[in-house]
Amino acid sequence: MKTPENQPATERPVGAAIDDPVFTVDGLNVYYGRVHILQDVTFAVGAEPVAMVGRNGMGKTTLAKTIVGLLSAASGSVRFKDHSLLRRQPYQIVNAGIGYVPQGRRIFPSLTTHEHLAMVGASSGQRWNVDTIYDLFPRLADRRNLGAANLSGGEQQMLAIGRALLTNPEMLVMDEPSEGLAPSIVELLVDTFRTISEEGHEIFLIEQNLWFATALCDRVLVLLNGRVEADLKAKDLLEDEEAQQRYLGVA
Amino acid sequence: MRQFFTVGLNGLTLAGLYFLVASGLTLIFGLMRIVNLAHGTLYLLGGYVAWTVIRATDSFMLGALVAALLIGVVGLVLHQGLLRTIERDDMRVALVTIGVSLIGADQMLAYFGGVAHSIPTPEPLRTAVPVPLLGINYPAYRLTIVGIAVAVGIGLWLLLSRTRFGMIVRAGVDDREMVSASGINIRLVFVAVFLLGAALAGLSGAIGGAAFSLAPGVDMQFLLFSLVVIIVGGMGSVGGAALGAVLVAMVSNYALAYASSFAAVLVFGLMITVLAVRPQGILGKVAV
Amino acid sequence: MRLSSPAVRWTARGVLLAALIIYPFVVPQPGFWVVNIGIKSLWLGVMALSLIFLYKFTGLLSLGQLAFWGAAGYTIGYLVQLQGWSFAPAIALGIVFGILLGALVGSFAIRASGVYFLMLTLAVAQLMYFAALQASQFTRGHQGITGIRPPTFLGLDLVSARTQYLVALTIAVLLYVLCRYIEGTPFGLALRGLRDSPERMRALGYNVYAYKVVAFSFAAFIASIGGVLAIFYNRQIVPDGVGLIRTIDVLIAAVVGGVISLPGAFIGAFALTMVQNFSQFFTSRYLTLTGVVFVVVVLFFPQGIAGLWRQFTGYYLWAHDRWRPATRDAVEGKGVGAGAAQLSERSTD
Repeated sequence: MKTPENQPATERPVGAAIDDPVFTVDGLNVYYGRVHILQDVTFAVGAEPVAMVGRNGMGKTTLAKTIVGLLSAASGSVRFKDHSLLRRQPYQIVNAGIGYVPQGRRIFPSLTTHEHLAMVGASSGQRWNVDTIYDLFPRLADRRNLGAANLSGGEQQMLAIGRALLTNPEMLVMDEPSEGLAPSIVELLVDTFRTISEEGHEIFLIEQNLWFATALCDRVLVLLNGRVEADLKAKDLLEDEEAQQRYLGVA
Repeated sequence: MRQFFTVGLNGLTLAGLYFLVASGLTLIFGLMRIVNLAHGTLYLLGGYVAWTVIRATDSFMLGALVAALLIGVVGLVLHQGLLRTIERDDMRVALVTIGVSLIGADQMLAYFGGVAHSIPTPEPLRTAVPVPLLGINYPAYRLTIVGIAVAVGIGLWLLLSRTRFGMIVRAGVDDREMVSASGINIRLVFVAVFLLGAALAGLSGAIGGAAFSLAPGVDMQFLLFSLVVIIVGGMGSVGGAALGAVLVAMVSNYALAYASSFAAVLVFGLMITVLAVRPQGILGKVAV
Repeated sequence: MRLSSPAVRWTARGVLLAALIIYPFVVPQPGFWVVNIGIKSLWLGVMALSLIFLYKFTGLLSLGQLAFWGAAGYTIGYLVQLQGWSFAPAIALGIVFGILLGALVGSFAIRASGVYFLMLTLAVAQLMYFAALQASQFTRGHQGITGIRPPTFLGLDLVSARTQYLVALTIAVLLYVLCRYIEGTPFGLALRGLRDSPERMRALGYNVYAYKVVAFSFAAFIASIGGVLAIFYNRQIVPDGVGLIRTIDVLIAAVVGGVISLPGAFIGAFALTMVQNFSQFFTSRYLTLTGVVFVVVVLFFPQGIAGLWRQFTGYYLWAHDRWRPATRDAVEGKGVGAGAAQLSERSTD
C-alpha cells in the first residue's frame, strides 16, 4: 500500500495524460522467458525532455530496446506521433523519427570514426550531416581516420550520439549516455542535449546519473521492478534524499 | 624445373577458383553467420547453366553472365524461401543447406547425367603464352582465371573498404542490430550479400567449367575446398580467403604432382597445423 | 498401473528385444528384410548413435563420424584383403586406428563449437573421402577393396544373414546400454555439466578440454564399430562409403530420430532405411526424396520422430502459455541449435 507519508511530492499521478503528448507508451509488457520484465509501463513524453531513472536490473535498457524494436513486447502500445512503433523493425522505427543511443555505445570496431558517420547516409542538406556532427564534436573531426575501437570512452559516446543524430531524428532515445564518462564530458553532453532539445527535438533519457538526468530534464520518471513508480519534478527528487535512497539506492 | 613451375601455375589457377568460390561463402558467413553448405552446389549449377547457354549461343561471355545472374537469383530464393524463417538458428540453417546440396546433386545428376561436361574455352584464349621469368608456356585461359580472381579480389576489397555499402557490411559483421537501429534496412543488405556470394559461385562455375570438368561430385569438391580455405584463412575475412585459397591449392597441387597418394592427407595436415597454432584461422578475428 | 511405471517399461523393453530377436526367423524374403532393412538399420543406427552420443553429452554436432567408420573399415579391408591378415587382429587394429584418428581430430576440433565444429568435421570426413580415392596402394582408389568375405567367429558364420543380424543386434544393444550406463557415471554427469555450464565446471577444477576429447574419442570408437559391422554388411569398402551422401545419411538418421535421443538413433536409421528401400520402387530420385524429407524435418520438426510426441505437447503448452522459460531445461527439449537462438536474445539490463 502506498501511503501519502512515504510518497515524495509527485507532480502528477503516474500514467496521467500530459498536455502535448508526442510519444506515448501504454500498458507495455515485456518478458524474458517467464520473467516479467516490464509490467504495464505507461507514460508520455512531450516537448520537454524526460528522464527515466532507476537502479540496475529494473528494466530500463529493456524499455529502450523495446522502443527501438530490438526486443519484442507481449502487449501494449508505443506510439510516436502518427506511428505505432511496436512489431516493427528497428530501421523502420528509426525512420519514423526515433534516434537511438544504446547502452554501452555499441560502436563498430571494424569502422573508423568517419565511416561510422558516413555509413548512416545523411545527405548534406539535412540538419544533421557529417559536417555538422564534426562542428558539434570537433574532437571527432580530429580523429576522423582513427579506428573507432581506439577512441576514448567519451569520444566513442560522442560517436554514438553523432550516429543517432545523423538519422535526423525528431526524438532521441538515449540509454545511459553518461556511463563511464569524465565529469567534464558529461557537462559537455548536457549542453549539447540542451541545445538539441531547444531546437525542437524530443528527448527521452535513461540514466543512473541523477545529476545528469536532472541537469537536463525537469521531469523525472522512476522505474522500479519493471513499473513506472513515480513521475516527479527534478527539483523535488533532488531535495528528497529518502526518495533517492528508495528509488536509486543513493544517499 | 619446368614441371615445378607448371604445377605452381596450375596451383595458382586452382587458387583463383577456390578464392572466387570461398569469398562468397566467407562474406555470407561473416555478415549473416550463415554457413551455406549448398555453396558447392551453386558452383556446379553455375557451370551447367553456362555450359547450356554457351552450347546454344556460342558466346562464352553470355554464358558466364547468365550463370552469375541466375545463380545469384537461385541463392536469393534459397535464402528468402528456406533460410529466412530459421536464420537465428545457425545450426538448423547449416543442416537445411546440407539437405539442399543433396537434393541439388541428385537433380543435377538427373538433368545433366553422370558424364563429365566441359565448357569450350573462349577462342582467343586457347593458345599457350610464354610466362615471363619462368621460361615456360602456359595456357592463356588459365592465366586469365588468375587475372579474374585478382580483379574480383581487388573489386571486393574496394567495395568493402571504400563504399558506403561496404561500411554497412562491415558494421553488420560487428553488430547487425545496431546497424538496423541506425536506420538501415539490414535485411536488404543481407539479400544483396547473399545474391553477391551466390553470383560469385555461379560465375566461378562458368569460369572453372572451361578449365576443369563439370560432373557429379565436383559440387562436393568445391564445397570441401572452400570450407578448408576459409577455415585455414579465417572465417569472414576476404583477405583470409585469398591467403587460404593459395595455401590450400598449392599444397594440394604440389602433393598431387609429387606424392599423389597423400594429397588429401597433406591438406588435412595443413588444416590441423593452422588450427593448432591459430584456432580462428590465419586472418580470423576471434575464435568462433 | 501407470504407463510410465518401471514394471511397464521393463516389460516393454523385454517385448521389444524379444521381437527384434525373433524378427529374422519370421519375416519373409530374409535377403531383403533381414539384410537390407535389418542389418542396414543396425549399423546405420550405430553411426547415428555415435553422432547423438556426442551431441547429447557435449552439445557438438559432428558430420565427421564416417571418417572413423572409414578409418576402421579401410584398415580392416587393407589388412585382410591386401595383406592376408586374419580378421581378429585386423578388426582390433581397425578400431584402434579409428579411435586414434578420433583423438587427433578431437584434439583440435573440440575447441570449436556450433556451426564451426560442424564445418570442421564435415571437412575431415570429405578429406577422408579424397584420401580414399588418392591413396590407391592402400585403398585401391575408385574401385575400393571388394570381395571381403565375412569370417566365422566363435562358431558364428557371419555369411549367414540371420547370424550376422543377431551379432549386429547384440553389438548395437551393448553399445546402446553402454551409452545409457555412461549417462549415470561420474564421467557422464561431468560431461553434461560441461555442456551446460563449462565455466562453472572449469572453476570446479575440471579439465574441460580433456573431457571433451575423451568424449569425442569414445564417439569415434562407436563409429569404428559401425565400420566393422558395415564391412560385414557391404563385403567391400569403397570411397563412396565415406562420401557426402553417406555422411548425410548418418546425419539424417540422427536428426530424423531426434538428435538428443539415444533410441532415436535406431528409430531414425530404421525410418531412413525403409524410405530409401521402398522409394526405389516408385522413383529413381530417392536421394531427392531423402533430401526433401530431411529439410522438412529440420524446418518443421526439429525434435525428429523421437520428439514428435513431446513437440505436440510442446505446441499445446505453447498455445496456452506463450512465454516459455528460457532455462537450460527448455533447450534440451528443443533439439538442434536452439541454444543459439536463445543466446542472441539475451540483454544486458
